[in-house]
Amino acid sequence: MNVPSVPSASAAELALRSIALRGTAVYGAYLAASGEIDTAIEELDEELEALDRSIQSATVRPRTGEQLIADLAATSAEFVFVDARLFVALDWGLLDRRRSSLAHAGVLILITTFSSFDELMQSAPNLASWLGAQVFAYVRDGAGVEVARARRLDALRTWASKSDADIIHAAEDGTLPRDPEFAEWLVLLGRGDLLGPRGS
Amino acid sequence: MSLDAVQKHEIARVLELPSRARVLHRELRNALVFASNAKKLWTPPDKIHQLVQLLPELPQQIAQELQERELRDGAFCIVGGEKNQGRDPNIAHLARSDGAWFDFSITVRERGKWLDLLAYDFEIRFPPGMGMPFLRFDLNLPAHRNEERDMRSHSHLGCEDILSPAPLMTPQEILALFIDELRWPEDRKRRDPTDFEVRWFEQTHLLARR
Repeated sequence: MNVPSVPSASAAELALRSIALRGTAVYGAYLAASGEIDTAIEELDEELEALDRSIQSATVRPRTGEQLIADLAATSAEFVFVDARLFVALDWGLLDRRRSSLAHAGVLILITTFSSFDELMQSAPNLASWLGAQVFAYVRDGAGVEVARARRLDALRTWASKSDADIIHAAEDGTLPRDPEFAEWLVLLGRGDLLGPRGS
Repeated sequence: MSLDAVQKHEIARVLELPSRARVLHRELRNALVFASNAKKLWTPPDKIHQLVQLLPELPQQIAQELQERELRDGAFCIVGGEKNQGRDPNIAHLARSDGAWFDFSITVRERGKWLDLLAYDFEIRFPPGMGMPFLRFDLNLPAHRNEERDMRSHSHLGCEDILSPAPLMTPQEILALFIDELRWPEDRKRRDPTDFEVRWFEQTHLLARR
């Protein structure tokens, strides 16, 4: 695979970048494993809507480059997400030659696989230059959750001078103080079942 | 005199929260991002994305075990900034444009139409000259000893050990309070501290050195 390493961005981060580019004609690519593309598009759409409910977005799922040109001609949405995972060198080459047909007054993001993007880089040099620095790899929101969980648990143990076992025993006995720190502690340990009054 | 009536009044408020924790997480994060874009916060949007996290009730193996026992109830923490009981300004936090800084932690459970807000702590630390060093809003889990003392929902007005009743608020409301309010009014000159306040701060300083 010839795809150079690309920076990672969660859908929330990409939505934020896209909003910042509002009012300009911008083309970007969002790379994900084939099985994650639906999730990436769904999250992107949700994040965008959460940032501005007035935004008009559209998702198109063309099977070929030719179909994408037709789909784009039929949409006036400000933000267009293109599920391009099926595109191969033939499609990218066609789009490169007919790139004026991709002209779109807004933000257009090609969501595709790493291997499809690799073919784009080889077959569509002009389109690749349009994308410029707007190429990101999808990363699930909350990718750093386990690190954060471990760090916060450490901080709680130091603060209370108690172990996880002490906390669970106290919660089971109904003697755990009900301060918010202990609620967080139980959830981080996966023991939300002990959050009820008196450990019920 | 019991403050039971006060607490009942505060806790009785029905909070209309989203039904999903990830939606609340997104709303809080975006409120902070908009505040950053409006220069009300110094913390930039990319840093906000790192600091405001949704921590689900994992690990998976424990959740699975609880599921088998039909005890799993979908609890989540939403946190903003690192845990910082020592109020160390070097620990990652959300920074306001006037020098105040804050962090928060919320515990919710996905149950029914709206999230069940179980507990929270939101603490803001003020720059010098604001009259008090910090303010914290706490919501304790139900049936805490403070609830028996009529104070499940309370605030700490610059002192760790003194509690005052506080209204039950949504996380969005408290963030709005931290972002837009609790600031020195732009149209008001700072007053000189009275002799009482000067002596009070001097004596507080002496007490801390003992």
